[in-house]
Amino acid sequence: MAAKNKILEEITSAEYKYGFVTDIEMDTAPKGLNEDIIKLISSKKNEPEFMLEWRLKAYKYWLTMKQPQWQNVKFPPIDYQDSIYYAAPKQKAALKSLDEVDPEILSTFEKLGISLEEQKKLSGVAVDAVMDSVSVATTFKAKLGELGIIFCSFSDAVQEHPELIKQYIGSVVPYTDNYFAALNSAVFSDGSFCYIPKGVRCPMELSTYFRINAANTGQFERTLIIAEEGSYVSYLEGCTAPMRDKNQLHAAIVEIIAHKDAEVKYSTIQNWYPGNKEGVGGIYNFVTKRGICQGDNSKISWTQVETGAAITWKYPSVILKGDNSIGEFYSVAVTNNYQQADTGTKMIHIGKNTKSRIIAKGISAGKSNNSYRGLVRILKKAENARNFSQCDSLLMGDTCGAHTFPYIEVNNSTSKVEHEATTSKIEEDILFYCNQRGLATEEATNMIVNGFCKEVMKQLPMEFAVEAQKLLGISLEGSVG
Amino acid sequence: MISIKDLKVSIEGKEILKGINLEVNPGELHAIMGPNGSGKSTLASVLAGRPEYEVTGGEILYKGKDLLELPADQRAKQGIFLAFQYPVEIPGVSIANFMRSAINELRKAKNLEPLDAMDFLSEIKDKMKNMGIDLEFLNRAVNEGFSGGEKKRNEIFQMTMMDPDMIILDETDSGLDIDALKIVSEGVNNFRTDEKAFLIITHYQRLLNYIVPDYVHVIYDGRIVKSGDKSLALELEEKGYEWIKKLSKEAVEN
Amino acid sequence: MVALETITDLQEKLVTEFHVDKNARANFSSLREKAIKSFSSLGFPTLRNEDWKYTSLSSIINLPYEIAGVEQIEKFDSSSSILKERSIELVFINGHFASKLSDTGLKPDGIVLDTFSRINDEVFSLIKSKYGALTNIDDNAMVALNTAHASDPFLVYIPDNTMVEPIIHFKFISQNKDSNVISFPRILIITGKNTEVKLLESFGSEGSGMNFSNLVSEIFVGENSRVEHFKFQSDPNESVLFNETNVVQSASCKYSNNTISMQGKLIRNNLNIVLQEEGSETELFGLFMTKDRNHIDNHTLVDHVKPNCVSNELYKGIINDRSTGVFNGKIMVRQDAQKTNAFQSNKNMLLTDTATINTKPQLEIFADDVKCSHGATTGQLDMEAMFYLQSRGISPGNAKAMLLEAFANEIVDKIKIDSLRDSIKVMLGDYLKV
Repeated sequence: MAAKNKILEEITSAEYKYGFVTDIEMDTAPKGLNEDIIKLISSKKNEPEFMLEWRLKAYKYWLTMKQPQWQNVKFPPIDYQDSIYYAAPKQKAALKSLDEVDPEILSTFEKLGISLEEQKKLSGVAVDAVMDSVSVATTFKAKLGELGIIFCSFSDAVQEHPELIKQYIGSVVPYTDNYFAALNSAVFSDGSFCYIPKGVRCPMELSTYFRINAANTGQFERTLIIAEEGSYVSYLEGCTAPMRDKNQLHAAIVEIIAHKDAEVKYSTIQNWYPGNKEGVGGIYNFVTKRGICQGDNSKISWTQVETGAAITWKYPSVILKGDNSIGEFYSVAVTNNYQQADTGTKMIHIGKNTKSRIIAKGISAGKSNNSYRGLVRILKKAENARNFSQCDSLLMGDTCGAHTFPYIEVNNSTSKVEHEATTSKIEEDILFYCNQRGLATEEATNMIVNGFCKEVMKQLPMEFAVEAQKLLGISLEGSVG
Repeated sequence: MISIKDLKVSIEGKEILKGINLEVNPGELHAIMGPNGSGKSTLASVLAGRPEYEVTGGEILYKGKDLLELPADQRAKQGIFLAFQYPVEIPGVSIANFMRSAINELRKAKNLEPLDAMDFLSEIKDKMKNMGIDLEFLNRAVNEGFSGGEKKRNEIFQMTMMDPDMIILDETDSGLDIDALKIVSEGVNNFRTDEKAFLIITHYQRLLNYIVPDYVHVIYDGRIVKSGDKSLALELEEKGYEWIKKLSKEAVEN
Repeated sequence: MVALETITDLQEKLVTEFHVDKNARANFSSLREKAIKSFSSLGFPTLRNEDWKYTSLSSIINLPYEIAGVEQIEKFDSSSSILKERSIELVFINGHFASKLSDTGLKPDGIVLDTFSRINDEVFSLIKSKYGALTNIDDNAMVALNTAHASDPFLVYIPDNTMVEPIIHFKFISQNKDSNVISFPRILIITGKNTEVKLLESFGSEGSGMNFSNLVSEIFVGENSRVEHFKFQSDPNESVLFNETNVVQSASCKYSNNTISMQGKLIRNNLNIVLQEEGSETELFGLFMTKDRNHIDNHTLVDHVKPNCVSNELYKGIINDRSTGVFNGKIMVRQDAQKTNAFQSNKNMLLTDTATINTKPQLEIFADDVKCSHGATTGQLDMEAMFYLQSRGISPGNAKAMLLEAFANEIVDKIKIDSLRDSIKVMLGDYLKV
């Protein structure tokens, strides 16, 4: 037993690889939050009047709200006046090419394994790199432009396509939606924008890479993806942050609109700094992600691998409005040490013959708590709606917790909803079987955990899947039991 | 190959093996027979290093070294293979992935380069064909949804892949129909050489019609109560386990 | 956004009309005073309370009520009984024990069946620390309300090594004379070591006004004992029932509960089981069938505190017309509760598009060496089977009833008392045919 605990400790003690800090000159707003800060952010970004008005409305609404209490996580109150709401790498005029990007920033992304150099076309992934809430570079812009695809920073989109922003911003996640959505809507500084025109199948993976670098800043970015009729796009999102002993807030919004026959696949590998072994520091990851299947036969699929962040609250959701539309949610959430995750999805069935599928795998180790929280709601008119949910939890050690909170609300008698959940540990018999085939306990555990997550991992694009598998191994290092 | 001296084993405080002595040399095939609950499977598990069992006395030397000091995966790397009585299912882990990891672990222990994917695939496919296993199984999760016969066949196939020196079959014949029994036996017989040693644990004499043992031992109540050649198996079949109980009583009284 | 907290007239009435005789023995005056204070500050639960997310009391608590008094009504219609055999029959009128209407002729020696005011000092000292120990009056307004207003709770005390052969049948009758009545029956059941007992609760009402019962029970299951508990909640008079049952299990005992709810304007059950010691077993079965605009809400909690316990739960719902069914089941496995096996399943059938089912099965697990699972399905009648039956000449109505009965019988068949099971089956058949 003692030996086992030792291995457990060793595995859980792996270091966070992305914890370095980049020294770059920053342009930061003063600490605190008030109308002037919001006006400052808006003017820094040279936004049209409608954006400022929208931000201020969101801010005023936020002031009337209270931070939610219902999640199964615990943390001290956040002092919203003690954070910086705008921090951007200092840069001169608009960048014409990557050559003009601060070499320090380029090397930062290089270190993270993300190449922003155009010659690395072989990787076949277009990247929008966002550091401290500001997009620093977007690759493959020209090539995508030929197909009519717009892939740029949110700020650029506000300048260049204000009509699209005006039409769609807040249309899926209104600023009244929740506390952090209101906060984000008031102060967001940048993010990614993506528009796929009618009938176009995006030929490469689009990827946004989020990096928090500055201290004492909150990161508030927005992503807006619009898929016109018959289009397809696969979108990836990655996140890392330096190791700091103070908690930092990340409150992002992702909105997806899928029109008739369109399909959007959104994959996330979330690896924010989780805090140290004693639970000091780490990112508070409070994110609102939602897509709407607006048109008939449309499809939105969320895949997430959540290994980082001190606290995660997020529920990537799909509103299934169009008839025959499909929503999917595939999730692996790993918590170790003192991490807390409360994550899941909402599937709102409005249209006829709508289908949703939820596969959630939670792995808890150390002293962490991992909760699945999901809602499946079938409205009256959603004839023949179908949902299948499977939530499995794996516990490693006896000091962690695994929780499942599914909410199922059915108002239509022709629909079918199935939910299954299990909680267990890695069985001794399976470990022994692997040992007998020459696999040490640690490797065997890795293999078993990856097997446990396979249904989710296979949804990820190839390049991401390999990274995600390694990440699972690292996150659980030290937790073999 | 392996030398077991006065081995005593308990589980949860209950003594199962009460002093086993057994010597298995390279090239030999020993069969261990006995009624349910006699300690046959415990012996197999202890040799392979199952952690729940507590060795309370005696020793096991394997290739001249103390086996009991090694954890299960080290024993496997040293060439001990156990074909499980109840092979477990490992959800989401394909046989291809599982075997490749296992074989590369073995090669690492022998300071060999890992096998590249192509070489590995061609080898595994050959061996699967030999065992009459459908190639589609490669991508299926280990033992998941396999029938009893398929699981046992899969165990023997893994044996041929890992090329061990000391092979222990734990009731591999139980639950097999005659055709599956033939295939499994053929796999084992083809694998017999002068260098390899076998310990075959079985409840029934039937398997020994196909795999002919050099020695047969009868175990009862944690002790080997009688040893002999292959004719002992037939004698046992004829006289039944009641006869063994009597022998055991005599042995204890002596 | 914050709705104004309105204090209903009923709430005010319940607080102002509260009184307790501080000097009388065995009336737990300080507990009751604390309870009324708690209720006064909590008020009736609203949809904003997570535990009442799907069940609204507003239309019920906005009616005027009279608080049930002790005046005894000397007769009630008892012609139809769901038991054939003679039982120990305990009748409660508007929450107050009616000894003259009860039949305790089969009571074995040594067991105590009486109200707190009538038990002797020796028995009182045995139960003093137990009463109120399993209820939470700080957060649960309905339980606080019951605790405050239950003026003379009823005790069932079964000493060690006693097997109670006859069924103990609680008949809860609500009566009113054209006005709405709210009543507060309260039961404490304590079983010693090595005991066996079968409990049955049934409900009925009379009068043209609304009958609103708030029934709270506490059950201590002794070591190595078996308690079989049946609840048959069916009142054609559209009454309202809040029923909380709190059970704590000692070592190596078994508690099984079978709750069948089929008629009533609104039924809310809270069934909370704590597996406080090792080696015990819990079985919870439930069947709820709603019709018209009725509403049935089942909340269950199985709390595994210690290792090596097993719990198994199956609830089934048939939701018809414009009615609503709610199932909220929670399994909690504490850090010490290794080697726990806990299973829960909820299956629902929705018969119309105006019917609603809200289900929330939850697992909260803090121990690693456990096997826990839950499942929930919601669907409708199997059309293939419907067609098959009709092709054999069975009318659609009968085919439907047949399939629904089959669905329901999985629960009813768990009842081990033959006469009870048979009479429930008959009633069920009638209910499903309409």
